Amino acid sequence: MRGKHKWSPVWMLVLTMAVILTACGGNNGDSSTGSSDVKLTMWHWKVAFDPGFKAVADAFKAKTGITVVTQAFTPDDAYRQKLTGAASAGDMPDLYAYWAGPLEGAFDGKALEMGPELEKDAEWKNGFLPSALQGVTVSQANLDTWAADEKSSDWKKERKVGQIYGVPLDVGAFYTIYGNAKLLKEAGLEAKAPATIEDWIDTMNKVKEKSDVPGLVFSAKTFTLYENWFMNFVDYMKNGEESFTNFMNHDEKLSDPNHIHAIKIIEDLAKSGNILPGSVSLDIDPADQAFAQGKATYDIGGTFTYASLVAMGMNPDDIISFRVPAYADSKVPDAKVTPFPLVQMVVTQGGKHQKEALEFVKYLTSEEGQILYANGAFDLPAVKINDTSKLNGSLQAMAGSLSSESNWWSENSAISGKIGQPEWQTFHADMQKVILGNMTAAEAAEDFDKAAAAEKAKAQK
Amino acid sequence: MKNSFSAMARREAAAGYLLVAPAILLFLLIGLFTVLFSIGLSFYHLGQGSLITSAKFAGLDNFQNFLFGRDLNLSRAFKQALVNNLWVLLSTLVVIPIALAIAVMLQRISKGIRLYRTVFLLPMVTSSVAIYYVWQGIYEPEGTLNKLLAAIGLDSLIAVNGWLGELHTALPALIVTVIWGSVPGMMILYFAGLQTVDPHLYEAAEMDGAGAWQKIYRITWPILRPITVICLIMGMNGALQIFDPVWIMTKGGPANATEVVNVLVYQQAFVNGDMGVANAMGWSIFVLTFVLSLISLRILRDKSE
Repeated sequence: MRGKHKWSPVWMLVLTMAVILTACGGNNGDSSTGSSDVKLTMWHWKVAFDPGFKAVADAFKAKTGITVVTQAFTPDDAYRQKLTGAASAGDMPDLYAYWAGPLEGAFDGKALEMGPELEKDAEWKNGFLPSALQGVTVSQANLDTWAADEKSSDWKKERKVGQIYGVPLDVGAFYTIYGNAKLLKEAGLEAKAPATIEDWIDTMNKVKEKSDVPGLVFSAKTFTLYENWFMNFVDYMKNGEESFTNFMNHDEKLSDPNHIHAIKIIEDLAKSGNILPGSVSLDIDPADQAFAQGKATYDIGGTFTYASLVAMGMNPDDIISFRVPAYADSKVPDAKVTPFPLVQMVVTQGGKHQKEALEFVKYLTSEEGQILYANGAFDLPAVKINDTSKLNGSLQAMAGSLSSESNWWSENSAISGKIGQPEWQTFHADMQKVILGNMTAAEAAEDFDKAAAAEKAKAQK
Repeated sequence: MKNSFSAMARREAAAGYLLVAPAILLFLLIGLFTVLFSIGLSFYHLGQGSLITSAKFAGLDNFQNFLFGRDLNLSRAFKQALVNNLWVLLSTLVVIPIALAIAVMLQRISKGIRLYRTVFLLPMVTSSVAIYYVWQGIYEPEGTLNKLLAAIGLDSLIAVNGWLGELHTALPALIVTVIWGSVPGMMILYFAGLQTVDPHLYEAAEMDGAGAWQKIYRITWPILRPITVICLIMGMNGALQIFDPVWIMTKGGPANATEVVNVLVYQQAFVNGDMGVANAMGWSIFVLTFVLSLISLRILRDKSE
């Protein structure tokens, strides 16, 4: 019986050759038609992005033979919970998309640290828009915030400046005002970007007077939309870096003359009938829809809003867009809006196919991969595209309007990002009351200052 | 003989236990574990994006944060949400008489009862999510309600920002939707209860000289009392645990005017990522519901028991 299992030298040789050939054949990125039995699983939550991911996955398979299966889970909250559960259970996909930001989706060490990989491959690293990569890199301000937060994990607190756990997939920018050129022309006005906020309000008043159309619509229901898509940048332009930082850190008050504009503009617009009635109950899409239907002259949005407006049936010729205007007395009136990463790609640390997953992420964020992705997903790429003619028309226009260079604003997202903290929920609720005429701007400012002081005291405990 | 009977009973009991064992095991694994896990989590700090292994023991901090003002902003939000829950709770006192009245009416009519029953049960059998969107449409600035008011010349009553968009109308408008959705369930309980009353009892009472009030108090009420207790507990539970109509129709706005505790719990857990506080809030509202249910049971307990 034993003799049956005896290995002959010929069989041993065949087996050895097979092993060697298999090892040589795998992961040959240069082969034009690779073959592999590796199947990567990729999770994300953006159904609209799936065609883009699939286009890249198909091209990647043709190059390497590696299959990438994309799975989308919605809505956002369910996706976040699914990933958190998977991370706790150690059942993560090979790679996944997550909201961009330092340590976002890293789940206390479940994500591969990409910093060393980027250092090893200078071409890959230098391909990213500086502001995009900046937005996912751990900064000192991040570390300070986590150190002060009793709920932050020890793992988070132990991170170092410069670490990266996910690379940017796309970019976008807020601080964009869309205007209805048709309404402006009907009111006898020129459809152009106003020079200052004062000019902008003046235009709204003129349209309101002539056609009774309110000046502005935005989703006043959505927390941080006004605060983080408009107000913080306006305050930064008006008061400069130092004062803005002090304001965000609550060393300067909302009721201070320099900062009261943040709520006063809402009061003024509401009192003059320039905020579309019902705005406090509108979500983002219905607010954009109201603008597209000509119910208001202007809409607060981001670079990504343009596609929605066109999809909602608005004639592109009727749309004008410009960066949020600055007050006439602003210290940094020409501040550049830099695109920041919206979504990042994360590779699971110690995953079964970590190497292949990283290879796919590299391809997805290469110029070739990003062109395929951007055109399929109608999303702005996070890397420099040398030949922009390969992008579709609207993407070319949007990409051209953004500054790709890093600046103070893009390097200090941890400061402007404080707008998501609990005291700003008080601001948001009070802003709604001001819109509805149930509170004055002065009362709202006083209430916010109290809430901010309470949060500051809590952080100092 | 006695021994063999008891042996058989023991065998039957063992077989019974064996049969229910999978269900009990499943409950222990899924039901009890999650409940205990949730209780445990309410005593821990767990930040956004952190794993359970990173949770830090917080003692009673999470409870103190919103119950005793340790976190002023959270505490303020919780109090406002709780007050709103109590307003919704008061709606139960409106739902019960309406449900009872409709049940009595349905019992008395003889023609078209099936049609009426179907109509009154519609809110219960229709998808609640769809219903809330319909109500949202009714309450919009250019919705049916405002248009109706304009059509009948009551322009002064029009809510310019929509009925869900004004501070003083949002919660009442939401409560109307809740009442509309709660009536059928309670109505059918009362209707079933009324069906069990033997009509001969009323005839006998009449022959004994009982008036209308005495018939209700002596015959109908003893049957309806336990149903009322159930309705009250159901209403209380529904009011204190309310989430979906608020989330769908207002998300707690405007300016937190319709925020209820469960919406706050959701926001803490899934928007702010603070599972500790979210669980602590969830258990606090559970304790309140439990205590109020016990009080209701005690007040309405049948004195003959």
